[in-house]
Amino acid sequence: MKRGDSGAVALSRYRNPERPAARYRARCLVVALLMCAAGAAPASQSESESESAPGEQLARMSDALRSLSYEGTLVYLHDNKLETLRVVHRVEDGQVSEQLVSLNGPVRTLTREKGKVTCELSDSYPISVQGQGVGRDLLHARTIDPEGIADHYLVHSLGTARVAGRQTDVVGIIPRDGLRYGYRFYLDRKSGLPLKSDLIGQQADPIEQIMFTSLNLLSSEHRAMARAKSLSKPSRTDVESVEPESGPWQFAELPPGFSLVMRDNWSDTAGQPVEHLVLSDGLASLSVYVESDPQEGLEGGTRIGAVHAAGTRVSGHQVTVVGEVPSATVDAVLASIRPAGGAPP
Amino acid sequence: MSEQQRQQLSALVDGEIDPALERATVSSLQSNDGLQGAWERYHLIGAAIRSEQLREDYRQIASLVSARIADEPVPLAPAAVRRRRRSRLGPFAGAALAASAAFFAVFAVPQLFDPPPGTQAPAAVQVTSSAPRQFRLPSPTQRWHLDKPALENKLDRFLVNHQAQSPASDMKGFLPYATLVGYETRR
Repeated sequence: MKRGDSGAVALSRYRNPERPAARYRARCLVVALLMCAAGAAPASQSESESESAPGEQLARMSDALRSLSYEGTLVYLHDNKLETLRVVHRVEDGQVSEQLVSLNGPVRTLTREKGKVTCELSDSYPISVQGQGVGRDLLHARTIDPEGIADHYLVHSLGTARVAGRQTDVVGIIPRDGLRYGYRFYLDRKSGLPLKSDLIGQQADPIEQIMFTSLNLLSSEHRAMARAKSLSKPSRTDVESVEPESGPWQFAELPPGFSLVMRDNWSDTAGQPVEHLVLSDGLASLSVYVESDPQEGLEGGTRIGAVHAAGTRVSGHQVTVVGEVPSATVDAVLASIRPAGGAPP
Repeated sequence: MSEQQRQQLSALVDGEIDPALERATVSSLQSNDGLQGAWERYHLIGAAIRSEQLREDYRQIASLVSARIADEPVPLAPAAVRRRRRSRLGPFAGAALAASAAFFAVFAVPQLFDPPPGTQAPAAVQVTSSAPRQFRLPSPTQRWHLDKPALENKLDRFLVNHQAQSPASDMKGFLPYATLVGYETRR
């Protein structure tokens, strides 16, 4: 029964007392109930306001992703195609392991464990890479800082919605130009997990959606252990820039907001060295691979889902740009790269 | 149009008419607009009961049959010969005519509505032995829409390595990894 209802019942119960004392007690009770209701209303309002702060919600999402153990079923919608994925995410002894398995079509799996990512796709050899950047350990995962990306994104609370039978707070990350995608995260009010994520394209329509249809949160002991061993707070998105002049390859003019955040020497399957550069605007990111002696290289552009790739020959080297950004962004980066000093390394 | 005529017409539609009444019923059908309307309705009702596709132009069946017959260069003289032969066949003639009428209603009538080549097809979808193209499963294509498996494998490695190294991947939850595992173009 609502507070207002209880007040009405109390008032009707004492509506026609014969004695003034009884009438007075009834009025006191009504006044007390009204005061309680008046006091409770601002409290609930302030509570909702604190929950709707998008920066706090995104920090809570990052915390949930790195500290909770859970398993569930995800549906993934892209290009009018619907896929089903099984996810198992565990935090044990301060280490995060995660496995994604496709339940439709050929079996495809992705395993992340101790910084190593192993991916088995259809019609392909298993791919295994060791994370060497800041993303190698989920316990050190960063969170999205609205202020840090404010020049290129607008972070807004978009209200509430119900997903997988649970109440969620919706946070929107809206790009200020067409060089990056937007996001809508539907964050579980209880756990903070993103129960639904929309990748928003340039026409403001979702181009990819992923959503839990069932979620099972595992033992909270894992969470306590993860919290104890993890950093006190996830670091923000102020990714450190790498000195662009230090390497053999430079960029004449990068898309607004993007900067070089990582440089790495990688090796392909034949053992040939590959220069790997990572660019980011704090949320979106793309990689540039420079091969000196490729067997076969990408010429032009292609994509899978929202991931675009483009490649060409630059000064006798094969340059390939790949990332979850619009095609205009990978094209701009590809057109911008050049060997340092004008001569190929 | 009397109740008796409607009953006889119904029996004619069902192929169960008394052979002795068949000729008179057909003659009445040719000259009575009310009976022609009933003939159309009975066929529509039968098609609905049999869960067949209903087409609006079925309602023009009588006029279409008449027009098709009028266009046929059939000499009228042999009709007397046929009548005499039919009379000799006795009771089998009625059954044969009823069967022909039933065959005509079920199989031949739809052909009357087949559009000439080059005209727009009717809205109703005819069920054929093979599934329509738009319902068939897409043929397999490559993940990167390239016809170069070695190059596609390389792009897969580049993408997996990018997601593993990128500082922004883990901020966005499952989305980056769903593309890696969930993207499948075979269906």
